[in-house]
Amino acid sequence: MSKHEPVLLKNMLQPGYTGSLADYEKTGGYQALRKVVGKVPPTDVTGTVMKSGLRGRGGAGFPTGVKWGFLPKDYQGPRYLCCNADESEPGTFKDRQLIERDPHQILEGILLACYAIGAESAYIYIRGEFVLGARILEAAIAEARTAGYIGTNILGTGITANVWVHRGAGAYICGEETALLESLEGKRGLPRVKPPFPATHGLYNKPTVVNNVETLANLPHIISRGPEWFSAIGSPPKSTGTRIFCVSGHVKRPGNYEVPMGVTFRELIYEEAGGMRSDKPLKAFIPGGASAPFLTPDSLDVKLDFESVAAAGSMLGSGGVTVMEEGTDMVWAALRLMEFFYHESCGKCSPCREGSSWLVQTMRRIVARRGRMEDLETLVDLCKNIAGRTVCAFGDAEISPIMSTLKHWRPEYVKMIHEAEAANLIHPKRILAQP
Amino acid sequence: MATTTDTVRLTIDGIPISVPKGTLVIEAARRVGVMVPHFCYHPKLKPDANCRMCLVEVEKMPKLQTSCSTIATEGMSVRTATTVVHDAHKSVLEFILANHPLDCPVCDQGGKCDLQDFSHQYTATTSRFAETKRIFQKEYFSPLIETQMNRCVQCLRCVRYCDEVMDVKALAPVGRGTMTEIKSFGAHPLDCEFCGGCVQICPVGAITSRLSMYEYRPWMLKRADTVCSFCGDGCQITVQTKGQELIEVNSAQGAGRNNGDLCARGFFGFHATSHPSRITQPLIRRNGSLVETTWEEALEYVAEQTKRIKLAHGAQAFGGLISGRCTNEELYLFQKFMRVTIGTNNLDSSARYGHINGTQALRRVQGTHRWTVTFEDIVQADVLLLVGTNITEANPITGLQVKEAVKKHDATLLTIEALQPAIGTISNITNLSQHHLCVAPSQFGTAVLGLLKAVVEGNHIDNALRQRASDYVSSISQAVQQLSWDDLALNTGMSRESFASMASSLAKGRRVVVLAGQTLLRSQGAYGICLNLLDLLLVKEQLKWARLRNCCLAHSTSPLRTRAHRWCVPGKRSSLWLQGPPSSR
Ligand SMILES: Cc1cc2nc3c(=O)[nH]c(=O)nc-3n(C[C@H](O)[C@H](O)[C@H](O)COP(=O)(O)O)c2cc1C
Ligand code: SF4
Ligand code: SF4
Ligand code: SF4
Ligand code: SF4
Ligand code: FES
Repeated sequence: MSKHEPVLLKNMLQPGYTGSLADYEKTGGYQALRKVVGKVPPTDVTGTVMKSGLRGRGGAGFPTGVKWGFLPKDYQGPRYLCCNADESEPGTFKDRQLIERDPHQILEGILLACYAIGAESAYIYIRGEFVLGARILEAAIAEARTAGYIGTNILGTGITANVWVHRGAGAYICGEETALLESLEGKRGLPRVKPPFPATHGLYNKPTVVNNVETLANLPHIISRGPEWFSAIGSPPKSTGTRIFCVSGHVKRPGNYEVPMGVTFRELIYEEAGGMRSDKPLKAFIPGGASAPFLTPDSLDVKLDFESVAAAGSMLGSGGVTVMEEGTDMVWAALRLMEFFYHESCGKCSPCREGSSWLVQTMRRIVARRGRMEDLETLVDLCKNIAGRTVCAFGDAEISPIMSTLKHWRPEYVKMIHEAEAANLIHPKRILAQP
Repeated sequence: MATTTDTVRLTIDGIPISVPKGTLVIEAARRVGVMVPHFCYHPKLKPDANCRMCLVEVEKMPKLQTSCSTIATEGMSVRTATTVVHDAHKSVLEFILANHPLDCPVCDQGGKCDLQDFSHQYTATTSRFAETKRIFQKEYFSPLIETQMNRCVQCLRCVRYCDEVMDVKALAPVGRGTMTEIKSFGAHPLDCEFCGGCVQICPVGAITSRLSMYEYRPWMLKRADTVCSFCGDGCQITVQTKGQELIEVNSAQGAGRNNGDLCARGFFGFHATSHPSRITQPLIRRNGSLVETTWEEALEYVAEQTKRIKLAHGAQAFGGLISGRCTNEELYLFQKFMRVTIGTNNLDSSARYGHINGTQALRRVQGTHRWTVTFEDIVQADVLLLVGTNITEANPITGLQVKEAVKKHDATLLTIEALQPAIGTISNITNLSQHHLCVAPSQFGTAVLGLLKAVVEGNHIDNALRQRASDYVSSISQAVQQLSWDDLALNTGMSRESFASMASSLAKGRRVVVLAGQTLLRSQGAYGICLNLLDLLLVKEQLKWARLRNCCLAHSTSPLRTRAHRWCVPGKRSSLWLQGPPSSR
């Protein structure tokens, strides 16, 4: 049992908790909504969130209150809230648990955000594969509608807030906020060029906020217990509150662990997740989903907060912590992730579209013992040419497995290439004529 | 250079320039003579910044920026020629070329291809891409347009053009990542307007014309600019020939009032010139059958016969007919010839057919029969009313201005057309309209009357007009009172509410443009209907605006073609034209 008090996972850890409206209300559910709707000015709600220091849990860690503050103040016309439930980052599975086990916590968060930003419609964009989650959300919305939390006159205040569920169709890129908006609009899910940002030109070109499921699930607690309570948790001032980390890989107890930000990876892996699966030493771990560069055991004492992980050369990202034990083939691991990125590149921009196919083919070749020394140089070069030159952050993400494994485990690449040379398999370049 | 609040000053590679607010950096660079390499950018399309070719350095920005999507701001300092920028261009090009088949020798774009030119400028002669190239299976695309998707650089210009400019949406990218392939929308060969826009806008040889496939290298062609004679829009075209053969017709970006856009007739229609059943030699009827002859003989024969007939029967025995497809200059010469050389005023042209109904109405109301709307007026209008135009077919390029007004500038489109909105891969103007009255051509007049009645009864008459021209207002009010909503509904199938909502949209307009099309002008009672449309504009007090337009129009170019049926109506005199209750029409 964890020594940390859970916030988001608290309800569902109670035996017998079903996630129904009645259960949720019994634990104090929808009290935050009742506390503010029609009583506290929306700007004060935004102020409270700002004060809490809550930062986005979707990947980039942008301060939530500040994001809301970017919406144009004087704009007359619809605004939208989108709940990003597309959770497709390899190694990340926290939103799914929040959705399936405690849907009303998310709905209350959505309603609070709607109230704060003045949105009358919220869309939950849920990953297509989460069929069960979508059904649970639909049922929860129906319950909340009947109870008067959702609809045209919520809690008798005359305020409108409707929530709709929209299922994705299986593209990872639709988790990127602007691709999500395109997809919601019924178009092909391709990221938009920014600026303009969704805050001014979002869904149907209207001011829009996109927030992650976990970000929104924090709101009822912040409103109920106050921003000071929240900002005291974790490692203030920059990383406040708890975070759910999805620990997977070679550990004894893979799963979701909610801990205050700022605990160390060592604690998360060795105490919460029970340590290494077969008690072999840890070789590598990814701290924040497939897009985050790999770290070595040297970083085990790095704190799990935005700044510390960034300082260690990676990112907290989506909170997916993948652990690899001694004996794991790092080139193969990098290839595995590269295959994912190759499969998911949307194809909109040249460096990522062409780069992902080039990188994956080179990696496949190296793993198949058909590599050459110069391939390593090319890999690095290609990665550098992708970095910072793409439409969306996917480009920077796809290069991190290769770049970080090359940085930490270059000898493994070299060994494979030596094996290739020993086997003397034909390298494709050999058959190319020289000019 | 003086700067106002509407301009910003920046420097491009150290060269200072002042540009209007909102100008893209790539355009600002173009103005100082710096061409930033690009594929996906096109002035006609919304920036998509997908090719990443146009990266430049902007002072104070940590990352390179795409100049095609970055708006110039005051004090900005842009560098397009540093080593960093050059390396970025090189690397993006390396990516784009990675999967390219390098089949320039058999590509019709060779010699006028952006990819070829930039590769020549930037890349090494060898590639370090040692992997397997992506290959798309060749598929039959369409009878007129050919694709070679392995050459595609996925800039999506074709898809965006087809959607944003044509409003056709016949093309779509299919698949993702490197497997992104441009295909016709739906699992069938391309079925679209065949405007050729995608062929013209593709920066490489991925979409080409089948009519000129494998026929030429660009430098073999002789080019001549001329005007398309298929419709009244008068598009500027460039005819390209190899020897005696017409190889291709296209239109350069920025050329003519069509700004380089064409329709199927303009782009692909040239094939008619080489059709075997076309008459290319003069013929003289001898012993009951037509026999080929020379121009000299034929002209001499005509001259002799003309002289003989004139002597025997006088000039009034002649009548002259000329095709409306001829140019203004040819029409002028013809009438001069008929009037002066032959000596008769008996002449007519298909150009006049129906058209006169509109011009006479204009003459009666505004004192001149000149149409008063330019393409710019259409684009800038905030409310457009189209009556019987079938514009995407009859005057496709005028139709593009309407589409631009609606799609890019949020104009409200009102239509009275014998068309049904339909989802398909051929554009249909009624798809874009906010209020559409779908009525048969025989009922256009009734529908216009219904609209007029709704405007008057909806109290949308301008107050100033009420005071200034109270007689006119009261007579028109009385007149529309005689019409019954039941009759109107019976004849048009449209309810009073439909008319009322259209009227209130019309009433909101500050810059209203009415376009009356061929179907209307050639329908029965067209003259009266035109007058009623003018009434609509009169009661809307579009006078001020229209007068303003009028003066600029007086010395703007007059349309080259006489068959364009476009006008908007300013008014000097009042008009009212009611031919009894609609049921008796
Ligand atoms: C390639 C890509 C995939 C992403 N996928 C997700 C996702 O599945 N879920 C998510 O919440 N955010 C995802 N994001 C981050 C979103 O773009 C966005 O930053 C986030 O939803 C904002 O919410 P937050 O401020 O609450 O974190 C992704 C970003 C990128 C670039
Ligand atoms: S970086 Fe990749 S995923 Fe993002 S827009 Fe470009 S091609 Fe698509
Ligand atoms: S209508 Fe046809 S020819 Fe014109 S741009 Fe679209 S696909 Fe191309
Ligand atoms: S076919 Fe041509 S215009 Fe269309 S995406 Fe490919 S390269 Fe661009
Ligand atoms: S719109 Fe008219 S003038 Fe222009 S290309 Fe088509 S037929 Fe020719
Ligand atoms: S031209 Fe700017 S990104 Fe394509």
